[in-house]
Amino acid sequence: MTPPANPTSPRILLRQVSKFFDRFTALDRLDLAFEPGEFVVVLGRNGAGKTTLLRLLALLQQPSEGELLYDDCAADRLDSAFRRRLGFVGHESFLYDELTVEENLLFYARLYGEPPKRVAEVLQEMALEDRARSLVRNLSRGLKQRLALARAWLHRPALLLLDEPATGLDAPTRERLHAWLAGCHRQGRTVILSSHDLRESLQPATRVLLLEDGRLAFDGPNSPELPRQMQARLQGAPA
Amino acid sequence: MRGRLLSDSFHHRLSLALLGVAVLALPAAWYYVFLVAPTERTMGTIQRIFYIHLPSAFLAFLCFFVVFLASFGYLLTRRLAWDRVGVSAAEVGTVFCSAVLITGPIWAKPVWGIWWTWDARLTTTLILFLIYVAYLMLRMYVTESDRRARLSAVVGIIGFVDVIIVYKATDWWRGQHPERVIGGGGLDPRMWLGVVWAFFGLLVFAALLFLQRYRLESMRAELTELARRARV
Amino acid sequence: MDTWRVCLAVFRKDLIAEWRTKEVITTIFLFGFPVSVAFSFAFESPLAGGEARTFAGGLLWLAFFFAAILGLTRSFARETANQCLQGLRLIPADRGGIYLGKLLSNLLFMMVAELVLVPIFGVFFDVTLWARPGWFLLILVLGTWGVATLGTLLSAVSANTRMQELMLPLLLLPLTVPVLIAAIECTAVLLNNRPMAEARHWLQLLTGFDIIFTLLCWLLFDYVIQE
Repeated sequence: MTPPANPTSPRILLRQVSKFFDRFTALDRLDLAFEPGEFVVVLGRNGAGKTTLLRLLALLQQPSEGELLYDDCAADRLDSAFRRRLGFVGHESFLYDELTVEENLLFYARLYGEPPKRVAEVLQEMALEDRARSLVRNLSRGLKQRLALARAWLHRPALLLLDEPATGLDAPTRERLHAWLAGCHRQGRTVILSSHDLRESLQPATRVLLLEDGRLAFDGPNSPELPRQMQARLQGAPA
Repeated sequence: MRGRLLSDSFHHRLSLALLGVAVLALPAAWYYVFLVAPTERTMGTIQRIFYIHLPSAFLAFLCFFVVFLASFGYLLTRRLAWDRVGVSAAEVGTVFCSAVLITGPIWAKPVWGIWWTWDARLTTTLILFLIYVAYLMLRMYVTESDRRARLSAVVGIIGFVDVIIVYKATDWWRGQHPERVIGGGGLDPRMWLGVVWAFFGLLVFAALLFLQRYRLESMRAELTELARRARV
Repeated sequence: MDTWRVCLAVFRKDLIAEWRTKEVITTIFLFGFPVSVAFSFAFESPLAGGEARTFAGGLLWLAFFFAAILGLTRSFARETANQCLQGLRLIPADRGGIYLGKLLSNLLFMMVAELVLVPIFGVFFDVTLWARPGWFLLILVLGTWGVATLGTLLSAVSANTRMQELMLPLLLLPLTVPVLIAAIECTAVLLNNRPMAEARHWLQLLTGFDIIFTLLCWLLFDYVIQE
């Protein structure tokens, strides 16, 4: 039950992937590939399909049409052990309000088959030691977010998926988050995060995607002038 | 279109064929049952209700078995067509189950002297009815079709397994159904033929209902898909 | 192994949460208590002949059943708050273990609340339920387990619907009829001081029901929590 020593991130391939919710098209025939070790920011307005894309990548949902492949293996054929390689921070925290910080992490550590000492490590790494015995209910938004990150990081996944992780965080906290993610990226992990706000720095990203109405509107490498271009597209006439 | 099992023209031809057979078979069955089959000696003419009662019970059970199979079909393949089979069979089954529950007391009052008794089969049929009403209710309160299909498939499987245990339980609990009278070998062969006729007629009728119901569900699904494509 | 580890983790988590909030047990107790009192009013009325003792077993199980429905809803609400269930779906292990863990904790919480309710019930209805404590406990465990198996799964089903409070009893009541009948019959045998051999069939039925539905719900749970 020990995690793989070498964090190998899977190569992810989407072929004509669509996701429908009855009449609503959340994703519309996406063709995408994510190589191991990329740092991707997915931009888009609310409802553009960012969350759905990340949930598909996290194997929480299945595409309605098209193929989603991890290292050439179809997503619906992966065995449960594969989920050890991915960590997901969702819009909600996935934390139990009536448990303490430490208890939440211990619970998830047991589920992932991680030893209890891993919890102490993660608490230290995320600078949550002095809050270890606080109830999650009493934490601030920023601390909750940090704990959610700690939860996703318990098993040191090779692929990190984060759905608008910076929402509700103040500027210094956001900076710290991005610095930490950049660190993960340097270790060779794949980081994919979504955002609807350009005030967040795009700086650590190597690649930027823009979703509009479930379609891919832009896909290119990050560059210094990109934020200005994207700003215009994100804020264009409201739909 | 995704998940289409029957082509339009095939559906129309099949419906017409079933309608034709039903139009011939049902009146023939009722003619036989009411005018040819002999009157039962002790119960009198009220016994003839049993030609509707028994085939309806069979058909209800058959329909719920189809729901059970379709539920597996959906969970294994994730094709919504299976879900449409499931809901259609559940509705037709519920109709026949109601027929059983209505004809039962009509027969029981003059024969047993009471409308209702907690007999094993009566109770089982009532529980069966409640389970599939709950199944249909559940569908009303889940909006998204994939989720609805998934949850109702789970209930479709559990419900059927449960029914078998319900029967066992109520059988031990109470048993006073006229098994010997209608299930045993002492029945006039013409009575048996009546049952077979009625069963055949009602089976064709049930198939027709099922087909139309399935068709309606398919059309709804297609409408949803068209609306999605048109981005309405 | 995997399944067992997940089951235990979920069970421990629920124990801690329940120890802190006492929500589920209090919900079951606080509903079960006035219901027992109301039953006693309804059936002990002198005009009704004061025959409540004869069907005390049935009333006891009905009170448990309705109280359990509220408890099950509360218990599952823990998993839907902050979408914890989605976090659980990410684990690299058998998701059925989550069901078994919830089942175990629901069973325990229901049992605790019932054991508090039983003496109160005994006082109101003037019956001694614990004359044969071993048998009584066995009936209580088997019956409660039966309600908990389907209850745990169906509380997850109904959490997905718009009418959660209505859907759970609507689904659970007809499906647990065999459990209720068997548990009521067993309790009647016990209350009337008859030899327990008379309830053998019912105990077998309860055991069979519990095993079949524990397995079936374990297999189906993953489908319920997907989205």
